Amino acid sequence: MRRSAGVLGAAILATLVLTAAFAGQLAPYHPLAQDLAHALEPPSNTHWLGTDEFGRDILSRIIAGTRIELLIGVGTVAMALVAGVAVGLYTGYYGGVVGEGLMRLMDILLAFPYLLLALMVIAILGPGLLRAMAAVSILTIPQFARLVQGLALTLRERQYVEASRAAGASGSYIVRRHLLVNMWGPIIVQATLNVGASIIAAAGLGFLGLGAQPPTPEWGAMLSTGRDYMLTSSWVATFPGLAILVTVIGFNLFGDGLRAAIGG
Amino acid sequence: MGRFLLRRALLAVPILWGAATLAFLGLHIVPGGIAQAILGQHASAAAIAQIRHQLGLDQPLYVQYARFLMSAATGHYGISFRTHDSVATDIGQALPYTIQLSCAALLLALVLGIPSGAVAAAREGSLVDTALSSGVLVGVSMPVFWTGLLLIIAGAAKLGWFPISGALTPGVIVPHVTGMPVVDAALAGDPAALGDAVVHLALPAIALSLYPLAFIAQMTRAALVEALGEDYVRTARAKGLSARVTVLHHGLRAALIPVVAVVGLQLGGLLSGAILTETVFAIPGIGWLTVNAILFRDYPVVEGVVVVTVALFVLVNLLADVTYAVVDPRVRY
Repeated sequence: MRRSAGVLGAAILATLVLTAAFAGQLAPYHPLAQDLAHALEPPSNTHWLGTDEFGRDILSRIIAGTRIELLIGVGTVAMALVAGVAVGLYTGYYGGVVGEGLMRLMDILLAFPYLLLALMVIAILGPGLLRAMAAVSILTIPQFARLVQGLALTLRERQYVEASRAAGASGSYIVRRHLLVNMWGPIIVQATLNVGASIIAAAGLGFLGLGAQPPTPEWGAMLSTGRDYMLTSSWVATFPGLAILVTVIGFNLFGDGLRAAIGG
Repeated sequence: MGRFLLRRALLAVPILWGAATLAFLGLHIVPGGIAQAILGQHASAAAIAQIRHQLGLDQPLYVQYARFLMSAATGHYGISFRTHDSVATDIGQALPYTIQLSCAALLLALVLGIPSGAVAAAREGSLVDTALSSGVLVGVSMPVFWTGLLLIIAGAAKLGWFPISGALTPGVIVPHVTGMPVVDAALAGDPAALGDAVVHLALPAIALSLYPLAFIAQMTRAALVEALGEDYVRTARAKGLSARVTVLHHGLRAALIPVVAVVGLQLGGLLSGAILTETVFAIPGIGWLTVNAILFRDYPVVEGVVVVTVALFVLVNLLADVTYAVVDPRVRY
């Protein structure tokens, strides 16, 4: 059951990746091309998902947005993963005062409701897509740090690690060759599940007007403008949200399937 | 129990101090400085110097930090640049709306989530169970701001059953007691105002409840499936108790323990979701206050909101931990 759901997730993700790769060829119109004479038109044969307030084709904007969303999701998680794994490995294997301090910093970051932390980072850096990505990335770091620290604490007590240490292996060798290689499974599962959450968080910032700025076809920002027209032209807000939903479901199913396959 | 409580409460102090310090340091490393951020790129040096003096930013950092900690501890966060009111007043007015919304959403999530999880577990593998799993997947994957918009389109625009935004219809006035319209209207014994407050709360609460509802249903299902496989449940069944009694009295009682823990974890998500939900429904709560403060570069409000919200969050987590310890006597940290 979970595996077949995982396959469905993989199929959704493959479709998204292909859409992002061939966005230019697939989109019937240019995502930024305005056509004020046909503004706020409902879905039709010429514009399958309708047009927005500037007459831009919503389907083309969603297709172009796929690239941005995947970049946001994978980019933020990759940044958080690198930082979180480094912190987790250090605190889990070496510990000490620095390790203790780092973990307390992670505790403090976890004490913030996640969106508030992102908003604080935006208050410092200012609004924008890259800054929103940095904000979402920072609030994801503690999750990786906690996971990796836990794994490192368990793995470092294993006999093969002790044997390696007794044979004179250096700390960095043990971390690279014994710890890291044995924890990729859970890390990748966590990362996959986090991509969906990161996309929702970044879209939330875009929706608040603090992430991607117009006319970027980011789905959260598209929803934000759609809100102004939802009573008369509901399709402007409906379809970008649906795109977010399908994407996040794809990552969640895939992550869950991956966890079942790895046995985590 | 007393010692456990004291220990947990003391552990919260360094977290709070750390969060406050992080907020202070963060907002003081704003590129170009706070004064520049407020006045914009083209502000004159004299204007910047004046505002720096006005805000005490020309003092050494440690003096500013000491002053910030003092004000954070006493609840005096200065004056809002935007409303010219005291930040504490602004937060005091906004917070009840957020608390009301979060509590309503959590209540909905519990009332609907636990029974649906229980039904799915009792009929493991059935169509109901599969439907619940799919519902859970959609529930945790739906962005709350989109759910809110869909509810407005369906419930307010198409059906006309609910108001589009706000917490009360303009003109409806309830005496201020708690600041929460539903509670205040109930206290005043005004059924018309109470009805108005409830219909205003309905859509935002449903939107915000979806994620915790899905999570609680999933958790209840998992915990109950496990509990129903235990020996004591088999014994209960073997001695001829009905399926209903077995599930409710024997299974669910044990299964609710992990659910309590999950509820605690959901509270942070609720606060985050409330920020977005308030923006969708134009509810003047903490989220609305924060977003406006950031857009207007109203730093005293941002600082105040961060300190108050983190304090609230830590307190609520503490309560969740204590509840967990009360419900499950095995838990002693």
